[in-house]
Amino acid sequence: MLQDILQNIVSGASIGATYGLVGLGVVFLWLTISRINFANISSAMLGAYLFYSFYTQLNLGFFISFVLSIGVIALYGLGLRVFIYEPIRKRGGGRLEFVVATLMLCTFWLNLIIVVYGALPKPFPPVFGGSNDFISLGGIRIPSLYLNIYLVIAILMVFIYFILNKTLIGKSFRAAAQNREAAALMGIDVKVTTSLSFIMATVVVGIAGILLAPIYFVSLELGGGSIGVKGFASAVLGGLTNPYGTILGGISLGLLENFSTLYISSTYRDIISFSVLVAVLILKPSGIFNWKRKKI
Amino acid sequence: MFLLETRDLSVSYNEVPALRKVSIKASKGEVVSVLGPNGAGKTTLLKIISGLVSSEPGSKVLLNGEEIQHLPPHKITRLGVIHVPEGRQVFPELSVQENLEVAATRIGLAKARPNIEKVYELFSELKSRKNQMAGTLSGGEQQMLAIGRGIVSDPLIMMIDEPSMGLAPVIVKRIFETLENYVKDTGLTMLIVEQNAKLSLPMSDRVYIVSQGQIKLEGSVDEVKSDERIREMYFGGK
Ligand SMILES: Nc1ncnc2c1ncn2[C@@H]1O[C@H](COP(=O)(O)OP(=O)(O)OP(=O)(O)O)[C@@H](O)[C@H]1O
Ligand SMILES: [Mg+2]
Repeated sequence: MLQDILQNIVSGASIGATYGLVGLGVVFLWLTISRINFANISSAMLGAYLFYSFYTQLNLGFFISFVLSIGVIALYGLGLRVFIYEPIRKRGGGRLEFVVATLMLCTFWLNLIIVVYGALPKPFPPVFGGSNDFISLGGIRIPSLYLNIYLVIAILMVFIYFILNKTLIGKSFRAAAQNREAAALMGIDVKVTTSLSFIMATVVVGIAGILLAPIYFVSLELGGGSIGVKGFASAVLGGLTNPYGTILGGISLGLLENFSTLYISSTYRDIISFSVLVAVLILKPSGIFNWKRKKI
Repeated sequence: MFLLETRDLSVSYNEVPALRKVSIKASKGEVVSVLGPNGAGKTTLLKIISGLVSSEPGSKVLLNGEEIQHLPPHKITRLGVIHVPEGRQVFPELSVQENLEVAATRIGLAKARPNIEKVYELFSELKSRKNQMAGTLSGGEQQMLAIGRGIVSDPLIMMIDEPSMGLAPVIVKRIFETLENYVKDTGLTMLIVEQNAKLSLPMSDRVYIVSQGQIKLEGSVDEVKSDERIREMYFGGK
C-alpha cells in the first residue's frame, strides 16, 4: 500500500514535471511577447520524431541524435519568429492573428507527420531504460525511465537558471521581458532576446517530447490534444509568468492524475485534471504557484 | 562640428503635430537645457533622438556629423547616445546590480566594472541595496539607478528627461548636486529636460525654450535669464 503510494508519487511527479516543461514553452513566449503559441505542443512531437529518425532510422547514437534533434528544433524556433511572428506583427496583426496562425500550424505539423511517417505510433528506443529496468531504493522499485526523466529535467532547470541569472544575455532577456523600450535604450537588441525566447520555448518542449515518447510512443498524441492542454494547465498554475512555478504546477498535475487513477478511476483522470485547470482559471487566474518572485 | 545636432525634426501623433522643425545643437562638453511647459514636446524630442519615435521625412539627427535618424534605438545607444527616460523605467524585477549590468551592453561587462563601482561611489544608497529588486526602491533611488545605468554605459552624450519628476526637494537637490559634480569631473556632454529651471540652469551652458512643438528661444543661460517673458514664466518674475 505504502509502496503503491510512493511509486505513484515517483512516476506522477516525473511525468508531471514533463508537463511542466511543455508549460515552460508557453511561459517563455508569454513573458517576452505576450503571445500564446497554440502550436506549442507541436515541438514535442517534432522532437520525438526527429530523435526517432536520427536514432532508430539513421543509427547515430544517443548523444548525436539528441543534440541534432535539439539543434533542428532550435532552428525551428527561430523560424517561428522570422516567418510567423514578425510578418504578422509588421502587418499590424495582434494576439488573435497569432493564435489563428499557430492553430493552423499545429494542424499542419500533425498532417505533415502523417504524410512523412504514417499515422501509426512507432516504438521509442529504450534510451532512458527499458520497461523492466528499475532501481531499488529502500524497498521501492523506481523505474529507471522516471529517474532519467528527473535527471534530464534537473539538468535543464539548472541550465535555464544559469542562463537567465548568470549571463548577460539572460539578464537582457529578463530586462526585455519587463520593459522592451527601456531594454532597447540599454543597447539590447530585442530581436535577439525575442529569438532567444522562441528558441528556449521550442527547445524545452522538444526535450519534453523526447522524454514523453517512451510513455506515449512516437505518436501523434505528442502533437496535440491532452498533453498540450496539460502543459498549458501547468503554465496557468504558474500564472503564465513563473518558470519554476510552472514546473511545480506540472508536478502537482501529474500527482493529481496518478492518484485519481489509483483511488478513483483512470476514466476520470483527465476530467479531474481539467476541472482543476478550470477551477484555477475561475478562482485564482493569477496562478497558484506564482509567488512574488525574486528572480525569474 | 557639433557632437549632436538635430535638423528640422518634425513629427505628428495621429496627424496632430507634436514637433515642428526643431533644430538643436550640442558641442562636446556642453550642458544644454531644454525647458518648456507640459506637452511642449520635450520628451518627444529625446525619443526621436534615441530612435524610440520615428520622425517625418526631412528630419535629421546627426552624431559627429553622421546621420543616425534611420537607426533603431539599440544601435543609437550603442553609438553612445544614452537616453535616461522620463519616469526612470528601471527593470522592476531585476536587482540593482543587474539593472546596472544590462546597461553595460554597449561597452561590455568587463569594461563596465569600474563604471559600476563609480555609480556605487556616487550613490551609496544603491550600493547597500545591490541585491534588492529595483521595483522595490524608492522613487529617488530609482532615479539614481536610472542615471547610474546611463553612467555605466560610458555615454558620448547623456540625455536626461525630468529627473526631478515626483521627488521630494531634498532628494532632487542631492541628485542634481551629484550630477553637477560628475559632469564637472568628467566633462560629460548632457542634454537635460527639466520643467524646473532653477534646478537645471545653474549647471547648464545653453538653453532652448520649447513650446507647442517649436523652439521659441535659444541662448546662453544669462541671455535667457535676462529675457523678460522667460523670467516671468520660469522664475516667478524678477
Ligand atoms: N504616443 C503618443 N501618442 C499620441 N500623442 C502623443 C504621444 N506622445 C506624446 N503625445 C503628444 O505630443 C505632445 C508632446 O508630448 P511630450 O510628451 O513630448 O511633451 P513633454 O514636453 O515631454 O511634456 P511633459 O513636460 O508633460 O513631460 C503632447 O501633446 C502629447 O499629448
Ligand atoms: Mg515629458
